[in-house]
Amino acid sequence: MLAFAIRRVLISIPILIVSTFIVFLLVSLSGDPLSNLKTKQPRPPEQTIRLAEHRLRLDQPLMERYWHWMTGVARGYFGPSVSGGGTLDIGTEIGHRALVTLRLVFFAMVIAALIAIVVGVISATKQYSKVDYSFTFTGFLFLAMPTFWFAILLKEGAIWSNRHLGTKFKTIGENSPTISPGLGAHLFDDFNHLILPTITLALISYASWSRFNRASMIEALSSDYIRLARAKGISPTRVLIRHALRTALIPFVTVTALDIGAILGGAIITEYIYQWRGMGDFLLQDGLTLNDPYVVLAWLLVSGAAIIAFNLIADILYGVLDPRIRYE
Amino acid sequence: MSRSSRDIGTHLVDPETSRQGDGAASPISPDTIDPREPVGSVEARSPWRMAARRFRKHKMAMVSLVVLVMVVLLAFVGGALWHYKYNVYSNDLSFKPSLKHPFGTDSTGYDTFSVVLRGTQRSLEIATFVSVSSTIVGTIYGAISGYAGGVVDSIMMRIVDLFLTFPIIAVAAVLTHNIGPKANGWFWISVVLASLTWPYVGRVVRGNALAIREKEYIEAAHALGASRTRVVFRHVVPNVISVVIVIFTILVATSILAETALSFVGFGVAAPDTSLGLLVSNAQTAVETRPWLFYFPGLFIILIALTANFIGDGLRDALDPTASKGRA
Repeated sequence: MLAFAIRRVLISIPILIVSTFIVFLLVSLSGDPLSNLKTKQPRPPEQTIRLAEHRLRLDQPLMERYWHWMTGVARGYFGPSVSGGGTLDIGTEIGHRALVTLRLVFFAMVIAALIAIVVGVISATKQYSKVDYSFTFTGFLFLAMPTFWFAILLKEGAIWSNRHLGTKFKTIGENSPTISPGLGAHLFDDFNHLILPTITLALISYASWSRFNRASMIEALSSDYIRLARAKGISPTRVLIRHALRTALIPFVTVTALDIGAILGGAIITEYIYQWRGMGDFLLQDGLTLNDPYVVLAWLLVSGAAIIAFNLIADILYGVLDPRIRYE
Repeated sequence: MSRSSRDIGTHLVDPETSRQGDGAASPISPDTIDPREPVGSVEARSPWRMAARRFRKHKMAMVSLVVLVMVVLLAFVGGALWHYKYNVYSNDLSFKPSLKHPFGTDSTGYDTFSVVLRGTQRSLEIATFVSVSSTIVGTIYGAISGYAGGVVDSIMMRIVDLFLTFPIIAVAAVLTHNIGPKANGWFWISVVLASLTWPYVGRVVRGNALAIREKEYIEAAHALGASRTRVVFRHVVPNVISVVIVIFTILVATSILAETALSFVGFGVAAPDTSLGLLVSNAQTAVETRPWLFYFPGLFIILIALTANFIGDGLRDALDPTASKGRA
């Protein structure tokens, strides 16, 4: 088991390194970061442009730039930034942003998984009943739901409710610019801002998981050991939870962990609508709109590393949870 | 893709899909041979006909097929016949939905119905291009990888892993942020999305091809002196086709959600061209004042993605009867 885990980690490292190179290539070829500067009217002096090129290492060959970037990252320096004349420290900024996004992704995944488990279990035990069909339809509906459209709808609903029912949903940002001091007030404020985006992301993500859980619950419930457990007179609830659900959850854990890439994608859109200053905004605004290649690179590196780590966790968890899996 | 960017990963590892049934390939079961029936009617039941029969029994799938065909016809034929044109404004400013303008008009006087149909056209074109091309590439890639096995398979699958390391929506935004407004922007957006979605097809097809390469008919083909190319294209690919058809329909849903999400955040289809995502994006400030501008393009996205998913579900049951009903 330990040997397997170590081998799996060792395989992930070259994948991450190769992917950083491909990403570097893509970003370098996808546009000139100084195009904004060069098209300025009146055109800035040649000297200014050359200095900026030098600062962004554009005067170096591609491989050399890649080498500088990688060795920099190893030391915690994510490269020079374009915006703010290079005053933006990408490493510190992305660390802060990642924490903001992590909050959203974590709670959304937990809630989505809980909904998926409950819906999957009910659907499987009441297969082909009205409840099952309506859960299935709802699942399909959320599977087909554009994240942005649903998020706007929820946001507008919350604004309406704030105005007419006196609720106090927060619809903008990840926290308030001014809050009363104290840890309690801080946590409450963060929580309040989390509600709507978390609901959005959780509902957008749970559907495929609940379908999956339903299928594996049906498979588990039809197996011989469940019949045996029932024959022994164990209470139905206990059979359902301790025997069937426990087995069904093994592949479920893997699937949820493997879905992290999709959740991150959904988080980008969700953050965009609720105007969070998280990872999504960092990529779309700071990275792409402001044409800042090292911001984009840092973003892809962090999300790529997170996804590879989750794949790794999924693989290892599968082995830990399912004693039938053996690694030689 | 969200699900916009929610990707198709989970769908495809669904235990219902991952099981390659041989049901479709063995049409003769006791109830197909009825001694009272004339022999001719038994003969007529090819596997495809059996599948078509099962598909017709799937109510939601049949309804979805009809609805989707209607949406497609409406977008491509109806838009041309409708007496308002998407690019000619009228004097009716900000009209509510009425008989004259079923979806209302915007503040410039454009008829929302014709604009939405125009957007649907573009979004459908992109979704079709993406799903067709990535299905073809992914199927061939997966068939070769699974059939070859060994080192070739490992290398080919590591390449797939590389693609799956990043959220589709993020990489797509990086690649498209310079091409949106250019001529034929929609074509390049399709190419980008296709180049990011084929690995999902490749991975599933490869899993099926791995099982197929051990079958006797492959051995027989080898014994008869068939070349490797011939075995891949004449024996492996036709036998994964039922899985591929299901993936294809799900890809239609995924790619329309991906494209609209991309256009929504401003890195996809851009004006003067239009797409359903762009229409929702333009209407996001009008949700309270002119809600019809926001609701209709969103409903069309849901309609297309929902029907595509239901058709995929019906096809899965039809082409692979061992995988679902009756198993429990």
